[in-house]
Amino acid sequence: MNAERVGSLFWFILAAAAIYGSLDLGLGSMGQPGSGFLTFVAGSFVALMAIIIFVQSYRSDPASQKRVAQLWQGVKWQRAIVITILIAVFIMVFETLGFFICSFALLFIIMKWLEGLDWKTSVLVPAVTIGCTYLLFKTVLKISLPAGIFGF
Amino acid sequence: MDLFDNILTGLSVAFQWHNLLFCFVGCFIGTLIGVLPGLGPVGAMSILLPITFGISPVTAIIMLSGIYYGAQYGGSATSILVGIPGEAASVVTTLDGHQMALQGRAGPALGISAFASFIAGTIGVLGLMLLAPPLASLALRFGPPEYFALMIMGLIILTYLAQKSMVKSLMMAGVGVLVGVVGLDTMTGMPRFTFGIPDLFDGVGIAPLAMGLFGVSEILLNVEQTIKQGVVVDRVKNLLPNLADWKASYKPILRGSFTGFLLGILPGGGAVLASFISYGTEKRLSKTPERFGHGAIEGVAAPEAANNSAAQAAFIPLLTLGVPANAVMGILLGALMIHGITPGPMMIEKNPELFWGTVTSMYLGNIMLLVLNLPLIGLWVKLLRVQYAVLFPLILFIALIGAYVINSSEMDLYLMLLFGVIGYLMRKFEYEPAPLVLAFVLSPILEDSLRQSLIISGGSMSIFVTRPISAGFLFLAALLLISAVLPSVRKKRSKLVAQADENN
Repeated sequence: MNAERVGSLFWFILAAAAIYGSLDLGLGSMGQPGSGFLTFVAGSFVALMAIIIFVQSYRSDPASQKRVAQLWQGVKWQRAIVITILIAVFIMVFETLGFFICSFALLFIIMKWLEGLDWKTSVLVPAVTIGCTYLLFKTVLKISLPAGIFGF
Repeated sequence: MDLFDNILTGLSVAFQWHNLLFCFVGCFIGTLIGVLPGLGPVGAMSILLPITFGISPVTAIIMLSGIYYGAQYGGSATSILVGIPGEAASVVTTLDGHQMALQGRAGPALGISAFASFIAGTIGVLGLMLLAPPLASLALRFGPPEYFALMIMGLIILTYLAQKSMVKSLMMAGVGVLVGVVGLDTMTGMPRFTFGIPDLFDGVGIAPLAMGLFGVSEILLNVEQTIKQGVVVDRVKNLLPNLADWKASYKPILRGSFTGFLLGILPGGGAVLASFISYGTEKRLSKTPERFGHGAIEGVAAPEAANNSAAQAAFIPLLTLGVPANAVMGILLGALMIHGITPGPMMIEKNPELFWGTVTSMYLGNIMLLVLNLPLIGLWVKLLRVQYAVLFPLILFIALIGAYVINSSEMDLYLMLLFGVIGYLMRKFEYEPAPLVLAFVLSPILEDSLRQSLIISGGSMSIFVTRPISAGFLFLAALLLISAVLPSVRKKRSKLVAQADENN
């Protein structure tokens, strides 16, 4: 699949959804623009640009164009997915398990398991960073951080 | 009050111990961010936004500004010593700076870069002091149509200067407007694109958006590659440039400072463009252009001067018109709003301490950076040797906690992750995030001014072309758009893009 076409299609669908939503919100009149007026204009503009990119992809030199698979060729894309999943899990349990447990688990897993750093670094660096962050936010700036079910 | 009184007011604010301290902290963090590849000033400032909650607005702005112009200083150290730009505005410095380092002249390269940054920063601050008040008075004549036209022009300039496709950048600006209007409509109270989620009624925050698009996406891209550790030149001696170095550099520094200042004022312009243009100018003016790329000191002095001067000048549109010139200024605008201050023509009158305190602190900040950079070069060299495997989890952790504490909201974290993934895909598919962020920041002002203009004119779009100032802005924007599609200009742009890619 041609990357330019896939990209432009994605934005076109998003723009179409925005246009549909704008009509739902109400465009108002030129003298009294409604809530959907600017979103309609912006959505139409994005759609127009997406169409231009789509058409351009047929007119430009095929040799200079990339396929979607090529964008992930020769890189360890699985690592990006793992990090994304780790962040998502961190967010899901952050308020339940609390700042200390979640933060340490996230840093330790990335450093030890994903990056293969030694035990000393994987334990000490997160511990010091988490301690300093806690001191800065909780003690100096008086901003609360979630304690979690264990109360710390 | 005349200029002298204003400067005294500013100095009295800037010299308060806590402002001095936060100015130093900002400059230090900025240099650190500049030195470390992978986290730019936009990401760093948004991450540190929550820290400013507990301090006064003037102190907050002094610190955040310090991060921005400090990053311009710091970026050059990485460019020179490792050959990898610490941040975008230092890309050009890499060309000759690293060559100088490999030839055993890392000291003079770092020295001239620090002095050029200081001189240009000083010129930038002076220009800011002299130009901002009259510009603010002029801006008082601006009505909604002028603001609308100015913002359209700013967005067009930004997309015109886009490194890759202008059509894609224009589209990203459109997407930025769509994201910017999420939340309750301020005029009608109607929720827009909130999908019934109450957390979205206040809209998408600048911090999760910027941290996601710039910070998280950068990490996701970096982790899938094996980061090449460049050749770190750690033997740095003779930091003070000799007489011959000064002789070769003083004119490029002055030219770079003025070029940078002029380009920095333009909404959409900025430090990156200024550094590229000043490098090109010096190469063209040189009697020995073949030395460029092989360790010419002018090739370090001019772009370093230009990016610092541009960084200072970028404050002008924000502080006088309330219009951020780039994504960094967008974050500053967000910070000011959080503190209940709306930047614009009236700000200098209403909050002289904030304006003059910030401006004079920039001068003090420049002195601090000069003092900080040269003796601490050993520390930066050590820092450059820290593995990315240690660094990126810490950056990610700070970003996550930073995004959370702004509103103690889980939703902000989800938004940051969402924009992180979107930003990652955007970069893969070669869409630039900067126009999106700038349009996002501008969208509330853009919408208000568009609506007000149409209400004033009774629905006639002619209001934008019958008023001279707005007509002028729109004419310039149209000129840029037309010139961008002309075959000769397109060819030149593609050539420049190819050159920039090679340099990267």
